[in-house]
Amino acid sequence: MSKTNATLLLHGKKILCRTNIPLRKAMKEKNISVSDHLAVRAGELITDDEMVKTGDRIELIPVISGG
Amino acid sequence: MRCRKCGGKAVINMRQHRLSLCKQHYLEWLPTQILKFINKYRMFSEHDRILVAVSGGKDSLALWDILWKLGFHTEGLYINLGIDAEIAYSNHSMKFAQEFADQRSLTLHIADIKKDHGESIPEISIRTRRGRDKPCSLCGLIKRHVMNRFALDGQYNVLVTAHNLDDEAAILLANTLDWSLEFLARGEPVLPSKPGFIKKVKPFYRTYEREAAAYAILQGIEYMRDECPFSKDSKQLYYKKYLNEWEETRPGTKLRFYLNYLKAISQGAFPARQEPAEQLAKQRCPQCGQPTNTGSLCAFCKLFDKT
Repeated sequence: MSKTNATLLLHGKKILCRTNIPLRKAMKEKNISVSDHLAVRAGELITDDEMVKTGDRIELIPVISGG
Repeated sequence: MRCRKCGGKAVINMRQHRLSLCKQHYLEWLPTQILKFINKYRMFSEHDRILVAVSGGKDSLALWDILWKLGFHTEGLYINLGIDAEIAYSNHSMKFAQEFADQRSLTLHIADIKKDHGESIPEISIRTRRGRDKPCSLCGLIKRHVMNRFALDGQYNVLVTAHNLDDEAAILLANTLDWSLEFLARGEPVLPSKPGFIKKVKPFYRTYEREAAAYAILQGIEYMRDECPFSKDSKQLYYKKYLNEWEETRPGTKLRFYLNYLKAISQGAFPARQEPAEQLAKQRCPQCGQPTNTGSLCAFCKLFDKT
């Protein structure tokens, strides 16, 4: 992966992903459930149709809790 | 994606409702929906004293925030279970709940299991057979007992919990797979009061877990994001993940599953066991005075009975 990629942040881990694709697709490529997470970019909640851009750091917040 | 109301940039897309909204309109939309559900089920009114069970997580703090904004008379109850081995889970969660209440000048009551009863949940689970491997069942039993007692002693009119649609659908799936008819009869968002039991309501019963989380994030509510260390591999999480997989291919699956179940209950599909009021009033735990099925010590007092 080169510097032209974007980063998904999940549970404190950095996951590199492709760019110029919708977030939904980027998450699916990394086997991350869209329904189980919300996405925050630059402090703003974003929908999963947003395009992932070069240099993006997108935090994925798990929304499912149990017990 | 654009907000359906104003055409601005959407921050959430709710495929089950075919609705996308911007921040401002989402923060208006959810409280309006909750008020509609409260009124539909006559959960409570502006005259009631309401006790909200709060865990420090996104659901309970989001719900308390909404009820506070809607102008209801609420106080919170946090139950410290003493789960503090690896990540100080209970104390950390309590801090979020306390900060939330302080910021809004709301009253938060704290029940501390170890202080009040001498042992924390992990300690009880080691001593007793119940929950030795996984104390979740202990946790449920203790929380139900303490919430009910606190609400009755404090003369509240109603106890509010933040169970959301994902919780309800997961419980329904589990009870259906087990054909637990007794539990299937009690899955409605309102459990009326009866002798020894406070009225319990769930205003988030139609609210997806991601909707509650989105509200908390957009409202800037700081909440406990770590999971309870004991919930790892829990059955409820397992069912929730399955339901969400179905939801991704068929949006609205969870909502239809739960709402059609409510319809089935209303049509008499799962008749509840009727216990005469006099019987409930007579069968009291000799130690704590709460109702019990046996007439001897209730399940909660048995836990702490070391004789």
